[in-house]
Amino acid sequence: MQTPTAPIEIIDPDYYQQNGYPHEFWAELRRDRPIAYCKHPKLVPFYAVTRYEDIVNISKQPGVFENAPLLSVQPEAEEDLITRVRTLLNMDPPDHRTYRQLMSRYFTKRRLNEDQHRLDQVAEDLLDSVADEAEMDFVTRVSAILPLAVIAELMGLPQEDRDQFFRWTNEIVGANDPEFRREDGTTGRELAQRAIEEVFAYCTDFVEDRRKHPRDDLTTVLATAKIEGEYLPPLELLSYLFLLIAAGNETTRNATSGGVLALMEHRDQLELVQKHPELLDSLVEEMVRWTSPVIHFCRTPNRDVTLHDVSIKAGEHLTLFYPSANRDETVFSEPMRFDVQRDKNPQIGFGIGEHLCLGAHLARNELRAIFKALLARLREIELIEPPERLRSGFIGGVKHLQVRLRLV
Amino acid sequence: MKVSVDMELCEANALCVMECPEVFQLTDDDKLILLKEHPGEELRAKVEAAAQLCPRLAITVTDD
Repeated sequence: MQTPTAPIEIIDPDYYQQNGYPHEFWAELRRDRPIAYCKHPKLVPFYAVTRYEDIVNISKQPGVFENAPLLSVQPEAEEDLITRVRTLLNMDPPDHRTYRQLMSRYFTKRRLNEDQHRLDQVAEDLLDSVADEAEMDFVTRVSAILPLAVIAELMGLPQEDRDQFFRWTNEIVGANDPEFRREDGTTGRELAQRAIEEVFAYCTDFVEDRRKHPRDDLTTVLATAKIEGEYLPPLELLSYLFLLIAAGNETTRNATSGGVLALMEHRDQLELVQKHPELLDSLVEEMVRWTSPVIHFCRTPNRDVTLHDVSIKAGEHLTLFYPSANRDETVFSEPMRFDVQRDKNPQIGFGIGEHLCLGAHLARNELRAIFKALLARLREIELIEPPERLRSGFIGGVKHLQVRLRLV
Repeated sequence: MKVSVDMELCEANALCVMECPEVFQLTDDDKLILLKEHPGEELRAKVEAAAQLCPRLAITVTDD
């Protein structure tokens, strides 16, 4: 039997940059070819998984479907660059559990909710700082700043280093986007590699400092953590710090920008949430469902499996498309509608199971802080140029969002 | 019916507690307590909903 094939648009970074998410293609795959083979000369071949139920079931079995072999399908990378670092994203049990438990108790809902008022204050201050500007790039002036400020604070890193975190994250996550290349002709890969080396060098200094002078911050927790009596090996420790910095800003930035864009495109919903501040939590969930900033992660079965009559050999790759799951018509009523009053919204924008986003509650609280402050003060907002999207089939990013804005 | 929770996976997201407080409880320091390992059939729908809602997929419901 010939394996059904998937259209290249679902992974093509140029498509994402020009058009945003390929929802029509995903809808067709969900309906007709839930496990679709995708092969292209520039790509590692993979099976696209687009249904909600399948993504949940695969995520339920971390013992079979592993993360370590391939994290993501990155068209122009000769090898998967991000897997050179070793983070929670490309670990499997039992290591994944050991490492995750070092941090998980600092990211519980209860613990993070204690800091909500602090986040609200950061958001208020941030809006104060832009309140006089009539026109601005909402991404670089607002969306990007709050998560950077918050993660720097949690990690105990200097606020003045935020610009560097921003640049490093862009160079690593946006390695395939020409905007983030430096002017000396380096390739995206070289650029990302250099950025990772810079992050590692930067973090090494803080590790040494915190071992001598412990503080009440997450950098100290990781620098002094021990597994079986030993400090974490340098690769794993520096990778962990890098993960907190990068994952702690890129996705929330994109959810914020995408959320603002959605509210501008659905004026009735904007009016509704401004009139009813109690809809804040449901707005946040709907923004995560709607924007699903992580486009995909891969899983690689360690034995032969069959999914929907498609045979997949051990070592072949599956690509889980989270934005597709979040528009699955068998789970969400009217999935193509941005609806801030959705009463059933089991969105999996943060993933699910073993690898559920460690920072999910932090991200929610950040979104809550920024939208609470914004909606209370917003009088006018209008797009003055089309949004500029990131050239990536991995992270759905908005690079620039030029808006005319009036705050009170 | 038998309920079990993988405590290594549980990260106190509290969705189960909201769905079925008769069976799941969280302590003040984020420890999950399973109040009933064998809840009555009348709780089946709620327990299964809780298992389905758990974002860490830490809850398993089996038949006795």
